[in-house]
Amino acid sequence: MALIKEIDFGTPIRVADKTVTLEIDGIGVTVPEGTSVMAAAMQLGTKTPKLCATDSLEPFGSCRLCLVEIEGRRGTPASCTTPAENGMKVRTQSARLAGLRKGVMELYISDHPLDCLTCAANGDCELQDMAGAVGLRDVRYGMDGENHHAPAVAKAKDESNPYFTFDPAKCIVCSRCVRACEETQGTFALTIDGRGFASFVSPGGTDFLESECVSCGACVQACPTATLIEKSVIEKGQPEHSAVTTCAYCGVGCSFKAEMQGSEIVRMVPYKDGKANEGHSCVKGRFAFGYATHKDRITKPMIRAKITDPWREVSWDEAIGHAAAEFKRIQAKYGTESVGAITSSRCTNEEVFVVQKLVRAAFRNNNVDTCARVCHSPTGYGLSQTYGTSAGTQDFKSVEMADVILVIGANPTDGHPVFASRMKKRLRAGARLIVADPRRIDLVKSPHIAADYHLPLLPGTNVALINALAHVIVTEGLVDEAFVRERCEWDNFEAWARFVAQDLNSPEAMEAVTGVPAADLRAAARLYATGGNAAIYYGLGVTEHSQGSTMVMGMANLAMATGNIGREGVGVNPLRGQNNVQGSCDMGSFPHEFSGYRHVSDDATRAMFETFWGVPLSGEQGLRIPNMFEESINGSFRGLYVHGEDIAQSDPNTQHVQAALEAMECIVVQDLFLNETAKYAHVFLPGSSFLEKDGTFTNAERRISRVRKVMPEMSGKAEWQVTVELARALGYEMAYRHPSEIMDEIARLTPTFAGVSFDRLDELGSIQWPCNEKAPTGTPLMHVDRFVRGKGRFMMTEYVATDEKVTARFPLILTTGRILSQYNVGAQTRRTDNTAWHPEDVLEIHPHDAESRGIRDGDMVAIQSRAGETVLRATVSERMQPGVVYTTFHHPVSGANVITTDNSDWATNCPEYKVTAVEVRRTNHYSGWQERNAQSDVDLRRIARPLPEAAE
Amino acid sequence: MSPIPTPQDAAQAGHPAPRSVHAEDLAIPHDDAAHLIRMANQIATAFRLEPEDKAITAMREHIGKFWTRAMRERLKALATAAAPDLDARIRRAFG
Ligand code: SF4
Ligand code: SF4
Ligand code: SF4
Ligand code: FES
Repeated sequence: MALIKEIDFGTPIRVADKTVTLEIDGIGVTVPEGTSVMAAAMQLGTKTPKLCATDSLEPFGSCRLCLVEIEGRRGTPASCTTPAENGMKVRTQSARLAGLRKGVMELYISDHPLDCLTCAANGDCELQDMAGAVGLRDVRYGMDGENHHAPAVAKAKDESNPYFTFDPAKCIVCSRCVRACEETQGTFALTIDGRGFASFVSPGGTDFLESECVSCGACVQACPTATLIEKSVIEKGQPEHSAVTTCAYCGVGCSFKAEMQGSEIVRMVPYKDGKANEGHSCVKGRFAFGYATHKDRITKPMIRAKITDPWREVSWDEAIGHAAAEFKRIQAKYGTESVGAITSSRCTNEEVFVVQKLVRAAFRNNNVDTCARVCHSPTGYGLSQTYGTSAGTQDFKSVEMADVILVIGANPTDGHPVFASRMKKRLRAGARLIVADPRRIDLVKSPHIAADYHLPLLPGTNVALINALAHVIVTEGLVDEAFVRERCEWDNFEAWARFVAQDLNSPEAMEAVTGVPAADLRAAARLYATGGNAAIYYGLGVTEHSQGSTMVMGMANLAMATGNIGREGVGVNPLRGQNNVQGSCDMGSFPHEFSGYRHVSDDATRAMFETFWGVPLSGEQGLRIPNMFEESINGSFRGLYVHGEDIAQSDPNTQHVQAALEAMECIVVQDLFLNETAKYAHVFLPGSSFLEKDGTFTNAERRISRVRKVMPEMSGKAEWQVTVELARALGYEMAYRHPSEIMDEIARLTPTFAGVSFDRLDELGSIQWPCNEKAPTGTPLMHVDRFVRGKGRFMMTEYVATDEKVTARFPLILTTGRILSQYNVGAQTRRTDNTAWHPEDVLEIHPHDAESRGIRDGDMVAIQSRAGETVLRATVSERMQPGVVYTTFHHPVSGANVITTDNSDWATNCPEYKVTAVEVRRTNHYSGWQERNAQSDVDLRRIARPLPEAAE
Repeated sequence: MSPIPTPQDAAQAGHPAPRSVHAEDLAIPHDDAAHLIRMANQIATAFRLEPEDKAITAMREHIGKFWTRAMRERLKALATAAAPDLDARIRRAFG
């Protein structure tokens, strides 16, 4: 395997209908109109020397190294800023050009330290390359003149960022970093201060850590020198080979080159050909991979009889044998239905598929569920009711064609940063923005972006808001009737239109419920309906409510009513939380569905699986996660196999979950770390990180991408192998030799995956399902000519207030979310330097609410709900509206889910994380739960170590 | 009004609260029947705007598709016994 180097065309590749043909160094080339001379030359493989240009950025024309001669033109234009034209005759090399270029390089080098041999960029430095390319042999000006690098004048290195350094002495002020921060990332953290010789790059006059910088690394990647460089490269040196793989953090599913030295990772570099991210990334994917080799990783299987016993390290055979024996014993005693499994949205499709297969074929029941239950199950339900399929309608690229973007209950700059960057790019280019969110999220106002309307609704009133939007659209005659008549079921539309047109759904009537000024809401509705291509993007702020499914249907209705479905730039798009939420749902992780969303009671489907798997299967749907907990407390559910999830931390109402887990007789946890759930486990099976896996992930745009193994499993076994061995020990044979064979089985059994295989993925890079005979290269846009279910179906969406009411005793609403640098329960990110940005979860509270309770910024506060109490530090923040408080749930000690209740979505039982009535007061000690939990961290996590050998 | 009483509604109406509202140190009393009733009532509410026959079909379909056999049997028992807190349409659909 070699180091993968993508071609740098120097300027962005343009898309145009027209082409132009020109001649470069005597060779003809045809390129899309708007392509630069530099990029046209590169099409022929001709490299023009360059420093300030790179094809991820718009041309800038500052270094003057890329000069060329063009017949009939005076002077020597810069090839990066000169568009190719028909009939042009270009020369990229001549004595005159060589002289000019040498002169430019001489100037650069006279002001550059000559420590190339010991420089971290040695081997990967464009300045060095250019000196070589132009044949620089001596520097006439000498090295002693005024410069930026002599010890007396050099600015200090900035090492504040945990992942990269900034050494101003090596900066050539090409401003690639500044432009990357603006154009690629959209953060505008960097500026060029000063003028001429005195100009320098600055992160807003402070250091990187204190600045607006979000540590995405785009500037580091763009920098042609060692000025901005990864600390890991400084420490280890240049990588020697790489493999393309997929980020294991969020649902964007960025594609990366894992750049390696042997089996050690040097750095992750976003891959330009990755369609989800097009060469960009966020801090998590690029830098936060240290958890994969963290010392807390458990690499040996362990068992124990009681959860209060210390863990005992055992062989794989013993652990798997013990787990199988326990599950068999429990099933013999309590019945077939008494055991089940939870699949992970962080694991590969192949791993998920074998876990659910184990449940159905070896346990012989359908008690399998996935943590998608607690985040996006309403998406599946809502979109399949209305459109006929459980997935988002567009690819990410579609946002480039959107004219109006409606963001509901999502915080893309924190939750889905790379998609947010693409969205912000489109917004800077003029698309209009509506944000419906209780908090004033960053997107509402950030550099060069301002939402046209921010609708600060009260948590729990989404459906009231969507009905009011629909009311305006219907009553003001903004419905796209032609679309509805052609594409949707007309009776349902009529019933729905009559319903939303009622006065009780008007913005004026709903203002009292949602808290959103009616005038703003009306204006936003008009903009959505009439502003051109309108696209909805939504997140967990939509789904994690008692009416989560209703809200998804409400948004689907709105898109149908305005004809915003079935082409580029529109649609209803879930932003998925974990990396493989989509995949784990597709793979048959739900208790009622086989892969491809086919109900277990469907005889034909079941018969196919029975034939293929060679066992009779149950046609009765199994238990969902909350039902598993209930049945455990009821005494009929006694054994659970938890694959790569931390239900004890991530599920609501922690104390209820803990009680349910404590009641079980055998819990098998397969994970990287002794997580919170493992405290209640009897068997621990060490897992492997995504760097140790072959397989696939499916992102929020249904895109299946390869995960490639770059290092051996630390535990000695692949996760899928462990599951297969467990199935075997339970008496069910699975004979796979490689994960690709699991994918082949998925393809045979799942019509929407029929055309997917590892070979095909290697060939195409990635595939968006459905991929089959009709769509051999996949399906970027869904519902183009017809809905998957045939005609679109409008669903009734009456607003029903949640049971979780504020009262005098619990007067505030707590809502939860996430932040950029941490991920989900934080098991990974907490074990990286990302803690530099988020050392603890805090409670955000509006100044009024804080003041009336005597709370100051930084105070410890107790948050009490009907379910429990926990203590966090308070941050007083204007981002909140009065009456609403907010926290994240990345750290287990915070116990944010101790206070969330067991209210849930009516259709899917997705928990209502986003609304909890609470009271907040100052305190000076941790809550009882936190203290007990701290103790259990010690008591339930002991590992018996062999006694040290006695000294001689 | 929502047919599902909140603890506060219940308290106002002079009924005991259906579940504990006390602080963290109380284990949550788990009442399976109350829980099933609550879930069923939520589903009934979601189809409240539909005409009775359509709603009954939809509720049967929904519960038939997502609830386990044991849960459906318990619901049937509750509906047959005409559990007073159970939504009237659910009672008619499953009783
Ligand atoms: S790391 Fe990203 S956000 Fe920070 S300065 Fe560089 S480009 Fe800007
Ligand atoms: S830090 Fe790097 S990218 Fe930025 S101006 Fe200096 S040399 Fe160019
Ligand atoms: S966490 Fe998400 S946005 Fe960040 S690199 Fe990974 S997939 Fe991309
Ligand atoms: S590369 Fe064209 S001016 Fe710098």
